[in-house]
Amino acid sequence: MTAVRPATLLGIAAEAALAVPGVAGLHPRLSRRLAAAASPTRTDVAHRASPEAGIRAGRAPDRPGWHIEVRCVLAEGRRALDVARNVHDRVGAAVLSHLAALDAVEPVTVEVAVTRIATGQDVA
Amino acid sequence: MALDDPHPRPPDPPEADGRPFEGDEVLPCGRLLSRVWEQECDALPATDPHTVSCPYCREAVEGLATVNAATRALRAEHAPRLHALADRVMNIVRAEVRLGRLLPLADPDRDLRIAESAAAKVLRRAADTVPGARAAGCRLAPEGEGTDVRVTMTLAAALDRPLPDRVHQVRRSVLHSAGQDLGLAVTAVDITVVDVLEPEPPPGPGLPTGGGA
Repeated sequence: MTAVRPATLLGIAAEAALAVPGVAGLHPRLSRRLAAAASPTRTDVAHRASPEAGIRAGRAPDRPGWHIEVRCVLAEGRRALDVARNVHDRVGAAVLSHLAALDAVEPVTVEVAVTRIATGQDVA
Repeated sequence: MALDDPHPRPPDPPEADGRPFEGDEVLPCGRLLSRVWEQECDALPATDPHTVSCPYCREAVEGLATVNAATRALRAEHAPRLHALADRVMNIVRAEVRLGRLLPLADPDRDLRIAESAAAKVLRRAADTVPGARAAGCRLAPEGEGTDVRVTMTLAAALDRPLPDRVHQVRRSVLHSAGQDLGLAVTAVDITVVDVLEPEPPPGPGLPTGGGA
């Protein structure tokens, strides 16, 4: 069994979430934005804007398996519930598929939070 | 790490032979983050085969090393740059607070949430579609253990029609939007009229009035 890298899961989950129709972007987590603000160079724009910053992946706190948290910004025009469901299911499927490829299948729980619904020109 | 982690930590980490820090993180390999970092600072990892080969320990150490480098650099900064940093940090924290609480979307089988600020913006706009009404404030709160949500709205309303009718219209519009645009299970919309909306100005000269006063 190959070791599962949480950083790899971030990329897989971000890619799956961004592929969902109605998702305008991922909302960077507080810790990532604070880290970017404190960056000594302040030139790390790519890091601050990286989609993975909107994902948290770690061991589930109260059960075996992985827990993925996704914070997303939606585009206007679709029901938030439907888009969030879609994100939930696609991210879960993508992570499970990755774990299966590594022969490291474990339960995966996904939590989706919609932080903003972008209107008109302020789409992220 | 801890800033993003709303979950309680396991009370008894598998490898805690000393007293862990409050909020200490247990890595997927079972090691305490604080111990791995102490080892790194003491330059001991080369003597520990686990730390050398474990991807979780290596990743954690790399992340903390970045923060450590940033902290050291900041300690050498001059005061004006520190003020700028404080402003940046406070702006980020304020933006996070403005998101408000996370409310459950109406799917009891999945963990789906929406920020209060995002939902309130949509519902305020729904209220504003009613002629003679403008939403002044909108708060949302979960109700009970399920996915039910209660909306509390303050409103400015014109007095050219009976207020109960207008409030009823606003409530209908908000309920419709909550279901149609968001997918929130809103059980109640409490509305308080807190201000009077000035009547809309009559059409300008030259435009047909449709019949005179």
